[in-house]
Amino acid sequence: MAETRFLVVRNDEEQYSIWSADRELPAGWHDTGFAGTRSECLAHIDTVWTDMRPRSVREAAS
Amino acid sequence: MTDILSISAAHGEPLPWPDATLAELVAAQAARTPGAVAVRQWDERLTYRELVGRAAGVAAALRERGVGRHSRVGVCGHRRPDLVVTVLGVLLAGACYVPLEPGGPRRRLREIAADAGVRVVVGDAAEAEFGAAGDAECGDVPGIEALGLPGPAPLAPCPARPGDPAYVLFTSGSTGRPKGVLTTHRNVVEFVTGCAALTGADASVRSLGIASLGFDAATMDLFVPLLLGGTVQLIGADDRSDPARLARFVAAHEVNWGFITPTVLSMLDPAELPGWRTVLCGGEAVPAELAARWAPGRRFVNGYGPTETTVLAVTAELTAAETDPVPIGRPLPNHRAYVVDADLRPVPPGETGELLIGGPGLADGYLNRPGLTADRFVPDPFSGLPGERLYRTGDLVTQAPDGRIVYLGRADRQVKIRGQRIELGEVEAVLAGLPGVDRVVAEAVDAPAGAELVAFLTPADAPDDAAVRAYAEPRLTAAMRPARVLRLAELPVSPTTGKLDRPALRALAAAARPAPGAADADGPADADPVTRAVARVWARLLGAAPGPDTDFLAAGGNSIAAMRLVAALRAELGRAVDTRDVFAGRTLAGLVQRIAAAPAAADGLTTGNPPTLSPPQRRLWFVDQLAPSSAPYNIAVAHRLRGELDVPALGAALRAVAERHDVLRWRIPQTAGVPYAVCAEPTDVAVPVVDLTGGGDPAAELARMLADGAAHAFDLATGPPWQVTVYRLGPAEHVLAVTWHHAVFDGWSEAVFYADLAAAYARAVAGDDPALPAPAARYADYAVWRAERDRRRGADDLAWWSAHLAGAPTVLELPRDRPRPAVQTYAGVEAAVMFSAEADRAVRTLAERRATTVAAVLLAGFGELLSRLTGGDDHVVGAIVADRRLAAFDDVVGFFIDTVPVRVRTAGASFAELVDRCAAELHDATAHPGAPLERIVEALGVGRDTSRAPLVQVLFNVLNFAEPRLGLAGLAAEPVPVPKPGSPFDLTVYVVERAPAGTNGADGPGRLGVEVVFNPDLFDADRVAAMLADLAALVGALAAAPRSPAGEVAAELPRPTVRTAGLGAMTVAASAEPARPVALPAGPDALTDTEELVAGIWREILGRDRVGVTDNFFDIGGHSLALAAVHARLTAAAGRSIAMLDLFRHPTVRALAAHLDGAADRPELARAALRAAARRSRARRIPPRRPGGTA
Repeated sequence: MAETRFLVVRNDEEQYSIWSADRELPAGWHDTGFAGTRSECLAHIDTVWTDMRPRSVREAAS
Repeated sequence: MTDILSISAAHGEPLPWPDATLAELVAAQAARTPGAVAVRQWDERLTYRELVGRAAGVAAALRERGVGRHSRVGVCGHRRPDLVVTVLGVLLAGACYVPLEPGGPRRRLREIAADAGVRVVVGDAAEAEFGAAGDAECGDVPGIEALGLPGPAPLAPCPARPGDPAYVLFTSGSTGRPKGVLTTHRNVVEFVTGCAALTGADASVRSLGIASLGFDAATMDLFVPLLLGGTVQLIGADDRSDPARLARFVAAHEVNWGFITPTVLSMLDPAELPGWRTVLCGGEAVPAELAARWAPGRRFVNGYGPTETTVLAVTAELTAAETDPVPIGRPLPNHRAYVVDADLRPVPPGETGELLIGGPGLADGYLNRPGLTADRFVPDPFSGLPGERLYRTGDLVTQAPDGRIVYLGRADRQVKIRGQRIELGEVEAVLAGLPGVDRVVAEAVDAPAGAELVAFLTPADAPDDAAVRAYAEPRLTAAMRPARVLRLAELPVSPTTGKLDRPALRALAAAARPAPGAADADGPADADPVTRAVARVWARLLGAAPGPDTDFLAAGGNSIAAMRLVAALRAELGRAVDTRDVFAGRTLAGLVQRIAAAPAAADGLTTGNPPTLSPPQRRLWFVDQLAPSSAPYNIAVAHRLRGELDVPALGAALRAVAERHDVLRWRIPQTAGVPYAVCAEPTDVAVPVVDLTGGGDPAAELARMLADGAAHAFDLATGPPWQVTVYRLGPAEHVLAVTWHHAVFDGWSEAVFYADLAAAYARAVAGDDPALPAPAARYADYAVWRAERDRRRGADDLAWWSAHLAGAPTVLELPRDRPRPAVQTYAGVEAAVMFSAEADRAVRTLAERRATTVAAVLLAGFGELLSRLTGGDDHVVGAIVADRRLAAFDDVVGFFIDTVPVRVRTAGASFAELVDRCAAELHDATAHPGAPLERIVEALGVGRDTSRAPLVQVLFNVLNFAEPRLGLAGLAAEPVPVPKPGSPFDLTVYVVERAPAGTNGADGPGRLGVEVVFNPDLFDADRVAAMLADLAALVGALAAAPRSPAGEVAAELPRPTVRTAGLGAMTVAASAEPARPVALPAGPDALTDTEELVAGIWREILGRDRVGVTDNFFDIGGHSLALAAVHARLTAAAGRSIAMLDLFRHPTVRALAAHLDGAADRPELARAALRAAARRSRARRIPPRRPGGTA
């Protein structure tokens, strides 16, 4: 059984998540270009999502 | 939005919420209602002003340490009101708090602190848990500073923004590492807004603060009331762990709103808690049976929500007619719920799927766990709202035809043990680290005490229970530690799937459980009844009969089982057994031993209560505030000691007595006019030695100094309420003088004090440790017991008193020599009379014949005297009742005295009938203890007056304690008379029995007599002496002729000079205060600024919508303690000291305002200050906010 492929996606608050590659992406979410198995995607997010504050909060802080 | 009817989905109503931080909103509330109580635990109350002021102190100390926005600060505090101060302080600093429960598993707490990047831990337990001492086994976390609570500081703005994290709660993580959920201010403010709208909560909320800070329910307990202006009733650890105490706490604190788990709620009786109008229940599945018991007559809400959605996300109002499984309901305002399959596609209504939640309650994610966050918080494909996320709860639910969601179970290996969510994976990962363990599987299995964790270890010789326990304790929370451990050579594998066979493991766990109801379930046949009873209840709760050394925890016992055990044992054995006994005793034998030593649980006595004031103490505190310079309520004694006095040993013995009787270490400070008790740590007792050997007239000097010492003005708020002095009269002659404030002492206490002092002194002199054993109960236990008794009986007893005293005169004016001073003076002078042998005999004979006490005979005689002095036939005098109704209070030092009004009606009776009436009065007075004097005074609507005590101006003290003797090792002691320092009454009459003059009193009863303390500002000594002589003669004559109409016996008594008042004496002296110009209002309807200020404070304290400017404070629900609260508020508003007496003197808004405007040294400045205060108070009086209406 082939494992479902996922995309690493991101919204405007720069929060990351994963989404099944064969489903339409919900509004307000963008493909980051990384695709893989669920665990590959999550491992990738672990490396790229370094500041977990939503963008609006991060910008208000600076 | 597409066709949502074909999928399982539900949406909450839109509802705006304030865009502000928690700290800003609480500070704003404090500005609106600074004097309102924010947090209460028994007598300890924090007003909003104090809460914010002290939290600002915490924030300032944190800022000094570099804490600010995005810092994370550990909070480690006991369940005291200070915990709320600590939490708010961290938030005010702009930081995010991380709860670190004191007493929790140390290694786990340290890992959490390190994971969260905590550099400072603050709270009253921070030093003990994270201080420099550290922990040898777990090691210190380098770079963590422990900070206790600093003092208050001015409020500085909170630098945080609504989107910043407010706290991080760590929940069990499946990979063996707890995960921290980042919850923002916005999450909480939005939740509180929705929750308030849903439950109708407002400023009248008195919430039950029961959840541990580390659980999301604490958010509801604390912030729903604090954002609305209500009160958090924060329950302490001891009260929380015992159903009877919990019920008492809820009742005594008038909790009307609160969240609780079904397990704990099931142990309470709804009939006992009718005031709890809104019950929110959740954390685990709510049984329909529980809803059926609790829903009638109140709002009963089933609340569901994981920490990741802040607190609650879905709720259902339940009725008594639900069936299992009861619905969890519909989403809160602003929230969405969807039921989906494994591919996150919606399932049709009625089908089972995983519950997804969306909305502003969604947390930011897991601290430092981006991958995990991305996995659990997924894009929302349903709502059409761009960029929104949904949280995957892992809970399996279905949507019922009525649209309500029903919880069915878990999709993963998360279980609930005693309401706490636990990932079995975390337990397994931790236990796998134990050397000697090969593989680990944890399962939750049903057990008699609720679900329990069972750990399966390989190999068969894996470490034993003790080793597992020792390893688990610092690493896992109590609920995460396995209740039982089974060791297997290998784990069972399913033959079909080749995977671990979990059902087989659960069956194995059930089979390994010792069979319940075995033959020895009643305990060994030869065991004593207590052992058999404990064994029986134990077996019922834990499913297996214990042996003498069976450990309660090892046998599957937990905190909930302990609560059930003590409730059952209390009912069955009538002993005041406590959950602490279970955990301290641990084994069956240990528990039985503790039960045997426990006091009888008569009338629901609980022990270990925090310092709590009793109603009589509050009354005394109030009198103390009214007349701070006088000492009418001191008790002073002195003993001459002949022999070698060892002063250091005496000091050590006194310290031991004060250690045993903690009430001697109490302080009674106040908050906003409300007194409360705190207990000081034991310290050495100062024993000053005054050397009188050098002076010219040591006897006179001693008398003077004894009188001064007896009149010492104690400061109840700051100092010890008692003092000791030793006067040295020679190398082998000393006088030991002790003065107590009555608030911590009474006549009975004297004997207890002497006995304990003697025991401790004997040991100290012999060079032994003088420490005394702890008493079975403490004064606070009495206060709590009494509060419960008064709550139960108060209404009935008060109704009885009101009916009994209806129409009675509330003022008793004896003929006097001087006008009554406008303000009561509390002065006191003593006088006495002894009865003749004939009168003594006649009184005793009559008492015996009427089957009553000599006190009743003397009260009747005194009543007849009153009739002849006033011309009336109906009088109220005070009597005193010692409220020591439980044996456990026998050895307790403290103030157990109630003053009760006794009505003496003399019309048309023979003396024998009069004696019968008085006997019945004294009996009835003791039989209605539920209503203390101030409540009776209030109910009768007795007008207040600064010139006399309300209702009772003459006290008839019939408590005849045998004069206690002090006996110190190696010393001969004899009492030395000490003059009474004053009197709260016009006249106090003591019935005494003394050795007649000229005898040594060694044999036979003494002679009856009367001693009085009278106020010399009212009466001359000559008048009192004559009155006493005539009283003795009259009583003798009446007792000798009991059948004659009393009014006709010895009609010449008392003599005319006693009957006749001094010329012009029956008036009230003019006030010493000169008339001053006052600011008059512009017209009859207009209010001056000062009037408005006063009226505003009255409205708030009395809880009334309006008060008229000429309404009398005491006619519209005011009482003395409310007056103290008004006094505190008014003093703060005016910024200067105002005598509490002035509030009495001017009991209407208009009179008080006029007085305040004119009374200061610089009236124009005073008026300006009051006007400013009035403006401030007006500015605050804005219309009540609708929840969320200010978004």
